[in-house]
Amino acid sequence: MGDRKQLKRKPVTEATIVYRVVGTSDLNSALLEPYFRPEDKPQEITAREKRYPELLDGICVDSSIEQARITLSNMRKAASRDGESEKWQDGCIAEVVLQPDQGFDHENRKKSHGKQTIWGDSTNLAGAVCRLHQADDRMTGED
Amino acid sequence: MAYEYALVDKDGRLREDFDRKSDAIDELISIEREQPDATAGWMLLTYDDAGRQVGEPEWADHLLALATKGLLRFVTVSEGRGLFVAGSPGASSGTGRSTSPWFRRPPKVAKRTRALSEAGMVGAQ
Repeated sequence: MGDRKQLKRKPVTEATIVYRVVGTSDLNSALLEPYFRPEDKPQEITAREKRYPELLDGICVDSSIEQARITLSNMRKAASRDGESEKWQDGCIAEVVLQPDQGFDHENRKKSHGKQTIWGDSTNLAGAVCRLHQADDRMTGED
Repeated sequence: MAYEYALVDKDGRLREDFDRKSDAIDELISIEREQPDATAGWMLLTYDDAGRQVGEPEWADHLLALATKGLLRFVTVSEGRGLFVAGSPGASSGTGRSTSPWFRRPPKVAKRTRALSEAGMVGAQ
């Protein structure tokens, strides 16, 4: 494996906005928190995950609202294919502002797919959500 | 136009990304060899330079089924990049056993063949 796939986990040193699909339209940290837990951790099965198991302790987020909407759309398609067409129908996009010195780490490999990994306490991450966006371009709540 | 390929699970989590689609499919095959059904619900997404998703998600089980039946062919396209495409049927042995070279060849051989293919030395179209 080349350096291209080397883990580039770093502490957040400047305000960084990322987007995460959540299953609630309520801007309540307690309701958002489960979507920022790395529980139900999948097995390390890809080559990169085996090399860097801590990847699975992180949360996968998108770099832009547009990419997060595509992620939500794809999750709905996957659920529908599994016969769970209702799943994620209420899904929203959480806009998360990661501030320095809050114990957040992230890895942004600046790939075209825009996916990043972030690490941090789930309660703090939920508390860092500043807005919720609908799957379309509506906004559901704001601090 | 360069593309990137992302293997994403059904929860939207990026599991691995690749510069070549063939490498993504090699990875799927390798995982399934070790843990059958481990990639259930996974999809392969293609992104262009601008970060836009190109086309629809390709389901891992569909890609693996095509590979199993020998219906994926590796072709060389412009810029030296490779693509798998659904090829003509008929490669299946009919025995239910894989005839796909991706199942039969160890990865190093597959990669060597791919490199040769990209160089226009074998089997490229």
